[in-house]
Amino acid sequence: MQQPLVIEKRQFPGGCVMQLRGELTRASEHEILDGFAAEFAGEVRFLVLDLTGITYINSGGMAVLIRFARTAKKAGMHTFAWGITPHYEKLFRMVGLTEWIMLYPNEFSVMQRIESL
Amino acid sequence: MRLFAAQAASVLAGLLIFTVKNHIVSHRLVPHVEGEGIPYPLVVVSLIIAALGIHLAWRLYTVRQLLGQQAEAESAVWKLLRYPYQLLASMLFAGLISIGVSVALGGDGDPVQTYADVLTGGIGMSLAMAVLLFVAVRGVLRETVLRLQREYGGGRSLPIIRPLLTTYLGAFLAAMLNVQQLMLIQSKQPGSLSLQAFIGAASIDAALGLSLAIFVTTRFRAEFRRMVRSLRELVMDEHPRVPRPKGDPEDEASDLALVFHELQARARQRFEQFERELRLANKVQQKLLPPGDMTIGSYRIAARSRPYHEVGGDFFDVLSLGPNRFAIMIGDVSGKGVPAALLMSALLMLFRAEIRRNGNPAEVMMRINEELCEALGEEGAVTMGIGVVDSVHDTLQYVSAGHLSPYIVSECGSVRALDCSSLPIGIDPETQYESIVHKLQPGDQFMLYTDGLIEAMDEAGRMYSFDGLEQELARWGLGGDLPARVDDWLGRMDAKYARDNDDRTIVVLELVHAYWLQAAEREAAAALHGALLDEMAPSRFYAHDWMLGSAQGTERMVAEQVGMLVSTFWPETVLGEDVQSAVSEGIMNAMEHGNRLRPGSVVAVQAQVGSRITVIRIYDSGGGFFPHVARNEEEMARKRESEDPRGWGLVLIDALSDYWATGRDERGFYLEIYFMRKTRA
Repeated sequence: MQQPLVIEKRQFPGGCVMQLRGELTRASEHEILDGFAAEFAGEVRFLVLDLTGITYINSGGMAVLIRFARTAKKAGMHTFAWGITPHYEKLFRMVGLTEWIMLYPNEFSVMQRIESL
Repeated sequence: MRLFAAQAASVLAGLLIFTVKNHIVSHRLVPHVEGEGIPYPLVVVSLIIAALGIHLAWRLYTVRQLLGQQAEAESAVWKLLRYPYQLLASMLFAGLISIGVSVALGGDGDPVQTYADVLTGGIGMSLAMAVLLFVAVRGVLRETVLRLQREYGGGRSLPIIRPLLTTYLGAFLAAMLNVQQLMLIQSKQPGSLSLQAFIGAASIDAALGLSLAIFVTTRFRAEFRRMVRSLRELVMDEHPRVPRPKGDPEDEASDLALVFHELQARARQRFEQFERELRLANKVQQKLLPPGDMTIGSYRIAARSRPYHEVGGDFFDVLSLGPNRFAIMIGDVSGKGVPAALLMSALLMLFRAEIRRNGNPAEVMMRINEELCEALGEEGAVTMGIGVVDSVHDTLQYVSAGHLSPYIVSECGSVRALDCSSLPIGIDPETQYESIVHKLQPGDQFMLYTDGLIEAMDEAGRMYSFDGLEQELARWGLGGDLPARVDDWLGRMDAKYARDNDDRTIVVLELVHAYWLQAAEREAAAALHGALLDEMAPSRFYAHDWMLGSAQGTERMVAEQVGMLVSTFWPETVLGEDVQSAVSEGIMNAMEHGNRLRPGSVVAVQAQVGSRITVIRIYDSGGGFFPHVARNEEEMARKRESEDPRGWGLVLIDALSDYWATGRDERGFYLEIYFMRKTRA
C-alpha cells in the first residue's frame, strides 16, 4: 500500500526544518518541489530535511531530492538532512546525492553545524 | 409488336375521336370529305400507320445492330430514348402535309384564306394525335429503356420534366387550336354550329388533353412511389426500427425526404462504424508485431512499419529461439487493405509456430509455402525473408521467398546486396527454398525492407529507387544510435517522398561493435561465476513468482517480499535491504522502460533463493536493452545536473548486486540479478 508523502515545516532562526513522512518516490515530486524556493526566498538560508519518518526511497525519490537541493542552492540555501538508515545513506552516496545534501546522524549535529556557519 | 400496336391504336384512337367530334359538329371540320366513297382521313391514317410501321422496323433494326457492338450500346439506348420525341415531330409534320394536301385538293381561290379554319383544326388534330402517339410509345418503351440503361450504363439521359412538359403543352395547344377552329367556323357561317355542338366538340378536346395530362402525371407518380418504396425497403432491411407507413403516403416528396434522411443517417453510421473497426484493426495489427526497438545480446534491432491504409499487408517479426539464437523476418502480402491485413496476421502466427518447431529458415519457408498454397489455392502471393542469427558465432542464415535482396552495410561503409532469388510463397507448393549463410562482423548492419520504400515518389514523380536506398545506406557506416538513425532517415523520407501508395516496412539488425566487445568481457566474467552457479542445485533452493501490473508504487510490496525471503533464508547476512532496493529498481525499469507504463501490461518476477546464491528474474514485454551501465564520474555528474536527474536504476542494481545480466526467452525480455551468500561486515 503506497504511503503518500506528508511534509511538516517548522522555522528556526535563519532556517526551516522540513519533516518528511511516508514514501519518497517520483510521485512525491510536486509535494516537495512546488513553490518552496519562492516560499523561503530571502528569509531562509538553511533547509533541514528530517527523514526519520521516511519508510521507502527509490531512485525516483533520490532524483527528486537532488532537484530539491539544486533548486535550493540556486536560491542561496544550504540543504542538510538527518535520519536516514545506513542502507539509504549508502544509496545516496552511490548516486552522488551527498554532493548536494549534507547528511548528519541527528538534528543536534545538524544544528551544531549550522551554528558554526 | 407491342410498339406497333401502340402506334396503330394511338392513330386510330385519334381518328376515332376526330370522327366523333366531326359528327357532333355536323361534319363541318372537314366538309370536303363528306359524302365521298372512301373517307379521306382513313386513307391518310392508314398511310401514316404504314409509314410508322416501316420507321419503327428500321429504328429497331438500327438499335439491335448498335447493341451488338458493345462500344455503341450507349448510342443505341440514346436512340430509343429519343424515339418518342422524333415520332411526335414526324407525326405533326405528316399531319400538316396531309391537311395541306386535303385543302389544296378541296376548293377554289386562295385555299389558305378559304380554309383557315380547316388548317387550324388540322394542326390541332395532328398535334393531338402526335401527343397521343408520344404518350403511348413512351409508355411502352419506358421499361425497356430503363433495363438497357441498367445493363449498358446510364450514358446520356433526358430531364424528367421534358416528357411532362411535352405532354402538357402539346395537349393544351391541341385543345386551343381545335376550339379556335370551331370559332372560325362559327364566325365564317354564323349560326352554322349550335351551342350544344360547340360545347360537345370543345369538351372532347378538353377531355383528351386532360386525360393525357392525367395519364403521364399518374405514371410519373407511380414511378416515384415505386422508387420511394424501394428506398424504404432498403432502409428497413438495414434499420428494422424505421416505422413502415400504413399504405402509400399521400405526400410522396415528404416521404422521399424522410426515407432519404434515414438512408443518409444509416450510411453515415455505417461509415463511422467502419472507420472505428479499421482503427481497432490497426491497433490489433500493431499489437501483433513485436516492439520496434529491441536488444538481443550484442544485437540491436530497429523495425518500423507504416501501413498505407489503416491496416496493411507488410509484417515483420523478431523471435527468440533460445539463449543464443533468434529469428528476424519480413513479409509483404500482395494487395492492400483488410484482405492483405487478414492474411498478414495469419502468416505471422504461422511463422511463429513453424519457426519454433524448427529453426532452419529454409525448411520453415517451405512449410509456410505449402500451408499457404493449400489454404489459398494460389490466389495470393506473399514475399518473405527469414533470417536466423546465431549470436555465439555471429552468423546469419537467411532465406528469401521472392523478397527484395537485403543489404549488408559494413562498419567501413561498404554496401552489399545479398543475392538470393526465389519464387514468392503461395504460388507453387513444391518450391524448394535454400538458405545462405553470412558471417557478421562487429559493426555490420543487415537491412530488410519492402517495396513500398523503393517505390516511394517525390513531388516531381521521381522514385526513391535502389540508388536512393544505397546512397543512404552508404552513410550508415559512420555509426551512431541505430533507432535514432532509422527514425531520422524515415523522417527525411516522409518529408521528401510523400507520394507513396504502398505499405512501407524496414527491419535493421546491427551487431553493435561496442556491445560485442563488452559482451566478450562479460562472458569472461560470467565464466568466473560458473563454479558458484553450479552449486545452486535444484533441490536446495526456494522459489517464488509474482505478477504485477505496470503501475508505479506496486513494486515496493514485491521488492519487500523478495528482501524478506533472503533475510529469512540467509539470516546471518544483511542483504535484505540491498535485495529490496535492487529488485525495486529492476521492477520500476521494467514497468517504465519495458512496458512503458501501459495499463494491462504485466511485470513478472521470479525469485530463487538457494543455499549459496539468490537469482531474481524480472520480465517485461519491451524491446530490451543492452546491459551497459554508465557510472563513471563524468556521466554521473551529468545525470545529477540534468533537468530530470534519473537513470540510476541500473547503477544501483549494479552496485548492490554481485552480478546481473539480461536475456530473452519465450516470456519476454528479462533482467537477472544475482546475490551471493556472504556475511558483510
